Amino acid sequence: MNHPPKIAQWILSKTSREHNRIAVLGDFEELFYEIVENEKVSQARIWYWRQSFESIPGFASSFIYWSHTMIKNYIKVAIRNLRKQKGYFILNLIGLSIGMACCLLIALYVQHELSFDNFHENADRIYRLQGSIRFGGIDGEFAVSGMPAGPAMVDDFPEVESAVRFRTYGTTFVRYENKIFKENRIAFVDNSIFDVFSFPLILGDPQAALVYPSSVAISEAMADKYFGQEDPIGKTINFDNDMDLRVTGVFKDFPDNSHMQFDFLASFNTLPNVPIWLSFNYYTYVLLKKNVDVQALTDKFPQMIQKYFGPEFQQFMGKSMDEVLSVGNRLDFYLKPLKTIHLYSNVDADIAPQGDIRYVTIFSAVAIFILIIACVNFMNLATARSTKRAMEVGLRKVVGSTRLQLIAQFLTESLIISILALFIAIGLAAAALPQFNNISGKALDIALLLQPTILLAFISIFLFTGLGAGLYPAFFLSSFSPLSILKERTQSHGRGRALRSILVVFQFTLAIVLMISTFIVYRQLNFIQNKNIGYDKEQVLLIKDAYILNAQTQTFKEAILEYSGVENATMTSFLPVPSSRSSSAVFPEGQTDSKTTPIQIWQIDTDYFATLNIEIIKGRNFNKRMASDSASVIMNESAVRHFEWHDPIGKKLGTFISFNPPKQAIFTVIGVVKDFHFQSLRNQVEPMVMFLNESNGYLAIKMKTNNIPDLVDKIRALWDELAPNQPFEYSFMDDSFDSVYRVEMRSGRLFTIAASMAIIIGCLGLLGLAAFTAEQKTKEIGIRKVLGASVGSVILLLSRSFTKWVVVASVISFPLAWYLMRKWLDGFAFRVDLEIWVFLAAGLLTLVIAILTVAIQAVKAALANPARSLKYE
Amino acid sequence: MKVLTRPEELVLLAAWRLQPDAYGVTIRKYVMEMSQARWSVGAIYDALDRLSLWGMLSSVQADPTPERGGRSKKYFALTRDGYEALVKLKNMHESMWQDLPDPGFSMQTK
Repeated sequence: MNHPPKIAQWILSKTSREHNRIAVLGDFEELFYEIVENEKVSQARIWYWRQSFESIPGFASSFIYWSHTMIKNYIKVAIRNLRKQKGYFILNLIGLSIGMACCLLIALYVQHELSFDNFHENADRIYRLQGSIRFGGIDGEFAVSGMPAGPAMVDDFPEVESAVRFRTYGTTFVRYENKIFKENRIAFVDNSIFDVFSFPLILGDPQAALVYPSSVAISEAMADKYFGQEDPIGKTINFDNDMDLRVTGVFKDFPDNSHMQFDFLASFNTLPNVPIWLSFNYYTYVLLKKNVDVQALTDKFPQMIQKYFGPEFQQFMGKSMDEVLSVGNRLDFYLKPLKTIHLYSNVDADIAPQGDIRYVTIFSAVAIFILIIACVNFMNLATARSTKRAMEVGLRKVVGSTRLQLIAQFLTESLIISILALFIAIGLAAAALPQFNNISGKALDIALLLQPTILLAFISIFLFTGLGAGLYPAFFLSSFSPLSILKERTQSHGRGRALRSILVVFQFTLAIVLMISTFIVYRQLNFIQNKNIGYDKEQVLLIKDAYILNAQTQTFKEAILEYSGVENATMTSFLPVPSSRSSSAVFPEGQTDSKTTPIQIWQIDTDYFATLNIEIIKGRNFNKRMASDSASVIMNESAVRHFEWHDPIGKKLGTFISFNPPKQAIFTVIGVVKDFHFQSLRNQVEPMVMFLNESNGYLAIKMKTNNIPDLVDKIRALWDELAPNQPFEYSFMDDSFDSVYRVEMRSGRLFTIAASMAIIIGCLGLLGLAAFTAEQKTKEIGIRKVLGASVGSVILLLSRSFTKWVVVASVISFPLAWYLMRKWLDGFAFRVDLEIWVFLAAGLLTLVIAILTVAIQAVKAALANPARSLKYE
Repeated sequence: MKVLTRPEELVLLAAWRLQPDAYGVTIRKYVMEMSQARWSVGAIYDALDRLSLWGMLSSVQADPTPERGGRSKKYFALTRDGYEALVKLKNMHESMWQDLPDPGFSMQTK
């Protein structure tokens, strides 16, 4: 056992630098045997071990010095190379910076979407009580619960620490002294909001601010708007000329990334007490104690439902809950985690419109696609130009460069391009941010680019691009055998050709998929806008909040009807565009048990159908002069199907007009209207019944004039006369209609931009490849021309292979795009067909763009003087 | 031209002195003897590496010898650049020592 320790030897061989490893190990061994001779073997072994460890700092210092020297050298050579090939460098730089900028913007967007409600200190313990029902064969999910739910949760379940109830309040005119503004971010809430959520009060007592009736806390922005420099605390504001509230607190504005947005929080105790669970009008949020098993808690809900809903079913429907549920109906509650509300809730009547995880995913995928397309350019251009670098690689290898060093050299080049592109991309992203906000509907700030997560995104994008794009060329180029390079001198440009074709096909497949998606999204949007929706939305002016006119609403309407250019007008809160909705249980007379699903109940006047051009297909319209029409009802075709009636005219319908005590009212069906789409085309037309009743949310005016501004001015003047100092607000029905499809419009615009970017970047790559091929074939083209080839045939020669690639890409992309778009269109009850010509058009358009790109180079090569090109080389 | 660090200077001088038998073991032994301090093999090679990179030392791989487990020695030799660096260093030293004023406390000279 008088040889040196094996493990220590291994450590030495790993730590010492390669070029003097043998000498070092030899030296160690020589010294080791010297000690063995003079002293004991064990001592020599100890010495060997100790010495190996003591040597590590020396080796490390040497390693660092060498690496430092080498990196400096890599960078120097890389910069020289990039300078030498300016065109190629700029092509890469443009492609990569565009790709990265898209990525950065989308990273910002995604980060913002994912950050919703994370700022609450107790975010992980806050849940919303949500319901899930099945009644009369229709399923529903909703975010609302009854008023008693909140306190009952706290009283009945020890796991619940606290609960907050919200009652949203709709559009309200808020007045302080002579300042009146229209506000719609208003809610009545329990004081516990300040314990459960992290909405800090700047002024006021979080323990007491919203305890007493008629107190209100306002946001900082509102304090500024209404009170300016004054101290708002103790002042009285007024809602709708009706309710006086004392300001008891000022809270910090709700952050952008809160799923609920309010400016006024009035005390919940201001509201009249409605001790009915079945009155689903309140949002209940609960804060659970630490380490509570949510599933176990949810499992206890059926008992709670039995306990509270049982008596109410008995009271309002005259039957026990078991009876109601036994016929296939269902009523469940569950807890929705706060952080998932924004992206993963798809419930009726949410507290505010929420996002959708699907669009977050689609946006992210698109960003990555574009970056990949840009990276592919880099790889293609690098491998295509391999001939140019082959000599360099050969020479470097001959003078002793290792493969690893060559790889490091090539990676340095791609990392330099990548970091330069990143800086340009940051500039581009900052410049495009306002536009992007427009498309995405967000209010993102440039300062957000400095968040830690986004900085992390910078680094990942930089490394992904630098390494992702550089790794393959680095391995490819460094694999050349020096012998064959130096011997053959010029290589055929065929190296890596197969892979290059695959990559180009891949790029164009992605680009064409995006293009087809764009076409189809737009076709669907167009379809929605032009579909026969059952009513006429063109040239309809909507005047909001007509109820402000109080007793003069009719005077207003009649005066307007006198104006030239006005065809008709109707006063109602219920319009087929976003406006009021109400639904209630409606049933054939005497059959409270069978069809008690809530259906739409609208209140309209006699001019409704004429104004909106809705066709009455059976029976008649309401008639003002017939007193009996106050007990009449008109239904849509869908309602006829719902009640399974053949001849609905004269049939009787019942509905509850009060629950406590239960009281029914009976109506006679006098007419049926053609189904019109009052919801988005994502849904089928639901059953609906309409009553003749005063309802004055809007005055809808059907116009027939070429001078709308003039007419609007006249109406405004009349309004100002009847309701001085009240804001006059109007919109056009077709705009309101479009607002329903904002998400689709947004994705449509996003797809357009993404598809253009993908094609631009893809074509930049093609341009580079075409230029390179032309250069390669300079001599061939010269000879062909001398022998009589035409310019056309030369162009064909150069563009043939590119054309082939785009055609192959089209063929691959068609089924892919078909599948994706099928899934997207499934979200619409009414949708366009996926027609083949859309696919062909996208393919053809891409082909034309690609050929034009290549042709620029091809024409240049074809027109060149053959005498000059023959002298080439 | 670079100013050498003390370890580099010592190693360079040792390599010169020990020519033609200057390799890792002998250089380390000599440097340890002269500086009266422990030097790890790694520290010696760190200096040798750097001096070789700057071209102040040239090296040559000898034939393998059995007493070193069949591993060859790497012999180092001073180059012209190395010699010039040493001379420069010596001149710098001497000129800095020249005409130094009295430090103000009694000097003990041996």
